[in-house]
Amino acid sequence: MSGTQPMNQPTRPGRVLSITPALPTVRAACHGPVGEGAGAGAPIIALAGAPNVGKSTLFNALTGLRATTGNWPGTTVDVGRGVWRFQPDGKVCTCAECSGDCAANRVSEFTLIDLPGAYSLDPLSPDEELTRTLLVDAPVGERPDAVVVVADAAHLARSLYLVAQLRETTHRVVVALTMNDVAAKAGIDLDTYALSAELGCPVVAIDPRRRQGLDTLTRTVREALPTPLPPPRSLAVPAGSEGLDPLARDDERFTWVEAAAAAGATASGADRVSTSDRIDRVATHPVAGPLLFLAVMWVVFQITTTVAAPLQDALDGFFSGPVSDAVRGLLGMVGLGGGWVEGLLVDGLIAGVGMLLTFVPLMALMFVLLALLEDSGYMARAAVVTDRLMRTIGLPGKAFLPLVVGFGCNVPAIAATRILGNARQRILVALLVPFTSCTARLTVYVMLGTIFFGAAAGTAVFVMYLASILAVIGVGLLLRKTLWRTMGTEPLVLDLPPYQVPTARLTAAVAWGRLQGFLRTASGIIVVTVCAVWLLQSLPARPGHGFGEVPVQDSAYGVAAQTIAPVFEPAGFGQWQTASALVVGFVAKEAVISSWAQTYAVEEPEEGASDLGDFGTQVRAAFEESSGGHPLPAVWAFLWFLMAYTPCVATLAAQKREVGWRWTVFGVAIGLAVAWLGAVAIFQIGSLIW
Amino acid sequence: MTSTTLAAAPLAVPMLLTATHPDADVARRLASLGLRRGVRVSLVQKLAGGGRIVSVNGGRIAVDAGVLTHLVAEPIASAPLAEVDA
Repeated sequence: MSGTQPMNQPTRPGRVLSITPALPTVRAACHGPVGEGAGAGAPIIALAGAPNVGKSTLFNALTGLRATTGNWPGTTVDVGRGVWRFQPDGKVCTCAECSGDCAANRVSEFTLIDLPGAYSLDPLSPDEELTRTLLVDAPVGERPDAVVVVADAAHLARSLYLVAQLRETTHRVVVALTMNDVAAKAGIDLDTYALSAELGCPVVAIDPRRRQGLDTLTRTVREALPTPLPPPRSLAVPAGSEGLDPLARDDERFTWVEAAAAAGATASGADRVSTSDRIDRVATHPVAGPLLFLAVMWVVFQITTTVAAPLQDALDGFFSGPVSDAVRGLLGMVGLGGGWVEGLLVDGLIAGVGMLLTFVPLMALMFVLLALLEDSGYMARAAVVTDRLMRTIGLPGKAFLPLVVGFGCNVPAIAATRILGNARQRILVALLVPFTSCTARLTVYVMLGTIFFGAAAGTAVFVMYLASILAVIGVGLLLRKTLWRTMGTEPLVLDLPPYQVPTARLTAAVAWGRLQGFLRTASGIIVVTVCAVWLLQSLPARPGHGFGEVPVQDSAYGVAAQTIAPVFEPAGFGQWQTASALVVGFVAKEAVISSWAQTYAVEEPEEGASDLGDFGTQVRAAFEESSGGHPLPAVWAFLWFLMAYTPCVATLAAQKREVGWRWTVFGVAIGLAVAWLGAVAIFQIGSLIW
Repeated sequence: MTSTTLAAAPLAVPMLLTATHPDADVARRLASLGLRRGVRVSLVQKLAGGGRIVSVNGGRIAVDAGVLTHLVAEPIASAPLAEVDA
């Protein structure tokens, strides 16, 4: 490219990467869209790098968006896209005669693409394959304008292998070194200038967790864009000549990488016992490790329930009291009091969505605690500790990662199965993820735990999470011994990042991003569901009633629930209100409580009943009646069913995307069968004891 | 110099990796994490089921017993591991 034609490639109009990345609707339903790109003419910058080097954190820092981040491998499995905005700070073009007003200098935003984590361009998993497709297999004109390779300064040689492969292409490469603080503690002294000279591309030290060095990175990328595409690095072992030793090309690259690393770092940091090693003596110990893992999980759920409870009570009182009263008063003033409008607003939207919002403190706490565990580096150890457990069902330890994600939300967990290289393993894990107890189910556990177990609610919730793990293992074993009996096993080879003190900014950002996802769900699927439930409750299914004036048991909703309810009688919760909550839970578990409360709120009071406004009292009475005097086994049976059957329609959509309709339908059938059989067994056996 | 598999090697002893996994995909994954022929490694922690945490180039890789039995190494004379705060 000549100096008189700056920004030829980066500014060509109307070009987009020929991918449909990233933003499937199921993901948007759970965590919201990651974001759209900048304008059509904006340069496209790709972020590449191995898992666990801070790539997603950098993406968030540069775009201000909230992709999923975490200090453990496999977090990024989709392609995120966002706008990287900045203030142009001076001339960066290479034109000799330009006064600084050409296109290269006016660019103030890039489209930033967060590629899936990849150790190399030799794909061993679908997400690595996608990275290769976008960077190597795509025609030159469809590639990104520059690639920022995020590299771990503490493990430089390992991180630069991808750089070596990219330098064999014509990509403009900028290396962003992260983990510089960890490298400094390990005694590694970096010389970015020397490293840059060896690699043949710019090198910038940054700290995305603390947002340091980002301006320098921006400037460096801006300066790189007007430069001609670099010639490929010459290879000592040309392509096609490595037939005698398939690893000869790799050896050549590592030799090149090590020469660069030796020039850019004054010490290797190798062979030292670090603080992380000392912690790992306990955290990954064959006996202490699993005990610590269980203790950590128990503390998380205990803190979540006990700290959130008073906040939930306060919010509950706020929505059912002042908010509902104010709306009733306003409707009365405009002549709409007492009718179907008041029913829709107060008994529908406020009672339903309002109760859902009371769980915001619970969700926020859970997300903060999980973010702390991820950012600290402990989650990777959890995968190691659970490796043997996963092997009992023929899965590698890293299959635990999507399952752990499932305890937050099943939808991204299904997407995270792509970190598994084997297609059969991916299908198996995608079928097991719905048995991991997501936070939406937690809301029901907490509510029923509080109603039936009082101060022991936290322990009840913990038991449900153990039951969830047992369901995963049990169903996994069943499938392994039948449909998956011929599947081989994949070895455990897992990178363990150093432990680090979580940063408040990252923890808050991750937790807030996930909380926003939860709230989006609440304001989308849930509002529609609650309104649909209200509509069905207002539609008379039996003669003698008008719209909005029908008792719930005579409404379309009530009649449908009464038809289904006998199915649950052997499990001790055959009351139609309870059955109706499970039907709604098929759409979204977040809606279970709201629709359940809605059912009682609009039901006509029964003669002789007292305190029918108290949801807890009504639920307790319902279980007492439907179980024939054995409410506790019936509650455990209900909780089991709730844990095991289909999580939500968004999860089904994610499954369909990853494994197809056939396996998705199979998963629904397995879930319902396990849920019903387990619930019946729990109630029938439990009612003999309690 | 006696060669041994990493499955049978002692902890905290610096070793030179002389043979890697025979499966090309596994070997490539190991290599991308720095575990390849000619690198210096040491074992820092035992895991359940016979796995180990392997130290290589300052990084830590958890590897199961099945893979370790294919990784052959020989001890190299070196000072014991130093303790650092990192």
